[in-house]
Amino acid sequence: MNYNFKSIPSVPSAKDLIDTVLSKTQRKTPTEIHPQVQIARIRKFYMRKVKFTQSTIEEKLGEILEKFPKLDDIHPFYADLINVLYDKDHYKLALGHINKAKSLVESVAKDYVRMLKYADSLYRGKTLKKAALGRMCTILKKLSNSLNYLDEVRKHLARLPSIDPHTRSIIITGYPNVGKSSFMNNVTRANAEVQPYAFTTKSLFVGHTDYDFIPWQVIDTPGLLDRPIEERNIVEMQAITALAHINACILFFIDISEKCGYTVPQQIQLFESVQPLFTNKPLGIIITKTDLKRWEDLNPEYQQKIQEIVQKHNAFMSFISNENKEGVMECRNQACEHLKSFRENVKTKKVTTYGRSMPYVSVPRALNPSRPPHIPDSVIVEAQTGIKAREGPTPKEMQELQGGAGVFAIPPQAHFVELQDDDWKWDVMPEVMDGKNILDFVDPDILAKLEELEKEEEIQEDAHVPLDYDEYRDIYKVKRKIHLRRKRIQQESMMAKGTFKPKRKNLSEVEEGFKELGIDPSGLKDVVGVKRRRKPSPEIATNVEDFMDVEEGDGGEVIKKKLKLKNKALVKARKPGAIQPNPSRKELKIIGDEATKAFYDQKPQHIKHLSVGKRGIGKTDRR
Amino acid sequence: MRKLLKAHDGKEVNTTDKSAVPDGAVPGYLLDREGSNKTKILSNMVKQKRKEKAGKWAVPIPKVKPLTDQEMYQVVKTGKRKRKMWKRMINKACFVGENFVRKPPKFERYIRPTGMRFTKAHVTHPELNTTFYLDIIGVKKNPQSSLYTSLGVITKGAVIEVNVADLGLVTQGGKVVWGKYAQVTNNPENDGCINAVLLV
Ligand SMILES: Nc1nc2c(ncn2[C@@H]2O[C@H](COP(=O)(O)OP(=O)(O)OP(=O)(O)O)[C@@H](O)[C@H]2O)c(=O)[nH]1
Ligand SMILES: [Mg+2]
Repeated sequence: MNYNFKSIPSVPSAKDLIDTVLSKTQRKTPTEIHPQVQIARIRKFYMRKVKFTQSTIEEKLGEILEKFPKLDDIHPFYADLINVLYDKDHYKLALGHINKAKSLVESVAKDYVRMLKYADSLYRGKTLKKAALGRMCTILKKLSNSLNYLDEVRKHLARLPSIDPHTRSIIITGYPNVGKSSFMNNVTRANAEVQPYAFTTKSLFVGHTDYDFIPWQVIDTPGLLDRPIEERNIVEMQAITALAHINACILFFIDISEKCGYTVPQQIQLFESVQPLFTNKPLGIIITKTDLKRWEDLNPEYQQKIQEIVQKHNAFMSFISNENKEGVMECRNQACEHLKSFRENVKTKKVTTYGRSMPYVSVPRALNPSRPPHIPDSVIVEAQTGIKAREGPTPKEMQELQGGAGVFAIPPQAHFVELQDDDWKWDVMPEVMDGKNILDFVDPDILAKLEELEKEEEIQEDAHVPLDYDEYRDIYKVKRKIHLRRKRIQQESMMAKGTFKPKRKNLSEVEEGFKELGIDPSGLKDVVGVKRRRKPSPEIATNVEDFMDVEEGDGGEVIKKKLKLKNKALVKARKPGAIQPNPSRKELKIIGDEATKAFYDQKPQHIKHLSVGKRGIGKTDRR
Repeated sequence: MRKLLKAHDGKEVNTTDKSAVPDGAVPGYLLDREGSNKTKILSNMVKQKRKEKAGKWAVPIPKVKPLTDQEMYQVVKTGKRKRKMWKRMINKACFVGENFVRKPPKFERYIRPTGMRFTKAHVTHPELNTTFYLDIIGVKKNPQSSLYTSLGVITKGAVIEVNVADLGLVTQGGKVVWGKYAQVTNNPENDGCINAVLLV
């Protein structure tokens, strides 16, 4: 899938759209009609206008709908980015609005074309057309806001960096002002703005760098602050979407000089809070601005903390200074290597998982084949002794007392089987407790059952022995016998009824029948005679090229083509065993030369008046 | 009853018109006429009633242009020789009831094509100055002819009954009004929609 949103054509404003549609109708449909011409022609004239306008509008709106990305189809990164930047609901609403308008215009056109059928004068046709076009334009006018919004979206989409979510990429993140953009400028040819204040970068930027002779995509994101996701603004959310959806190597920048305005513990805290986004992705902790403060000078407590993080997340660590470009290239190389090995790992893993043979599905047999009806003991006792084992109403009776089904629902707890303590039934059941939920405890001996099933499967597989050829033949013979016997009985009964019509059989079939009856079929051939064969047509033999010297000049090419087609058609027709489709009219016309050409699709013109048109009052042989 | 008749009879009065008496000498046989005038004076009550009646039917469009039969419908020729000409196809907007069932087509005299049937109208409330898209309940009166009223033909000036249940109008008694009359103000067959003004 190509994520080039630059190709979305511009969305016209409602006014422009109306103007283009109306002027196109004016240009592309006939403009002159007179009151004295046939009424049918007048109707057609105006119907055409209405239909044309409708189809033009449909085409225009359809183009918009088609060209804008559908959020459900595109990569989730872009879907989320569009949601963050333009609000998914608003976006979908606008497109939905346009889609609705399209169908409304369609129904208006349908209505008015239907009414135009009954137009009895030019004036009426004209007013109806006017009303139809007016209503369509009103519908378009109401689209004004949506169209403007979509045009804004289009303009902004076109300016988005073209990030490919599938390639090798490196994402740079961290607090604002820690030197992310400076790093990107150093490793790629991008020219992002670098300023000594926070939130210099307000959107995603992309650059490309070459390592190991392959291009790598480097994505610079806006800085993040440490706060819950609901409070994050659009600028930060863009960074979050990139981090969440792109499978990339993530470089988390920590400014140990604290010149960015945030302390090292704060930066570590930020890492901890956004760290869920980094799971299953290669990670690097980058210590920046080492020219201002060296790693050795850092508080040993912080040093240890950072080391711990690196250990825990299996990350690599790198020290850079954008000022004197120390360690920048090493950092990039390390990141690329890390990502490369990670991707390779994932790939090999995938192969192993898909390498297994096709899973089979077996229908489990019931473990306990006899399943008699279950009648509770209490019911049996009640039936025998007549003493009610239960006090108070049953849940069903309760329901009726409380107002019947729909008003009062039997609580699900009422159905619970006997527990040790009856009061436990009504305990509130937490969905998750001690990190586990109820499903974790269901059926502990599932594995044992599975093993049993598999064993059963094996036994079944062993038991299956394929039939050999002889057995097949025997079965076939018996089958054939049954078939013939049934057929004979059928025929006999038909004969008795007098409805039997013998089918035409070919020679070999009759011979076989004779053989079965024990009669020598050798004389049969002479009686029946030899099968006729069609003589080969001379036309097939003729080569196309032989005709070529007959005609030259302008018509030559055409005739050549025709002949080729003709030969093709003939060869196709003659091929034995070929399924012959009915020749199309075009083919029929081509077959046969000028003199013998049949008028397949023409009515006899000279007597047309005898066969065409409605019969009026009068004679039956003239129309 | 007698009282009523009397009221309508009015009083017979003789009035004299001075201006009608010519000046100067008058021949003897004209002498005692003195421009007397015999008229009936209607009682006040009757006068008031007539006025009221006129007021009740004051509609936004009091007069409409009469339509010829040719404009109203088109003659459909039928029969094997197409000689019979008793079928009519109405080519104006129509309202047919919800559960209307056509006669067998062979015997159907007036054809109301489905393409020209309408079930809803844009009704403007003259005091609220707002327009609602309401269901039509029936055609009360078509000024062109009573035949068209019974056929449910809707032309300009026709009075239709619309369902105003959604408007939440209430009678003085507190009941919700759901049917109200409205007069059609446009030519539906030309505009492809029905516009009407509510009669309040
Ligand atoms: N001394 C020194 N200054 C640096 C270094 N890297 C960046 N700076 C300075 O830090 C400031 C911010 O750098 P940026 O690259 O804009 O930082 P950023 O992380 O992109 O900031 P935002 O885009 O706002 O998130 C600039 O004034 C840089 O000159 C470095 O390695 N050493
Ligand atoms: Mg920046």
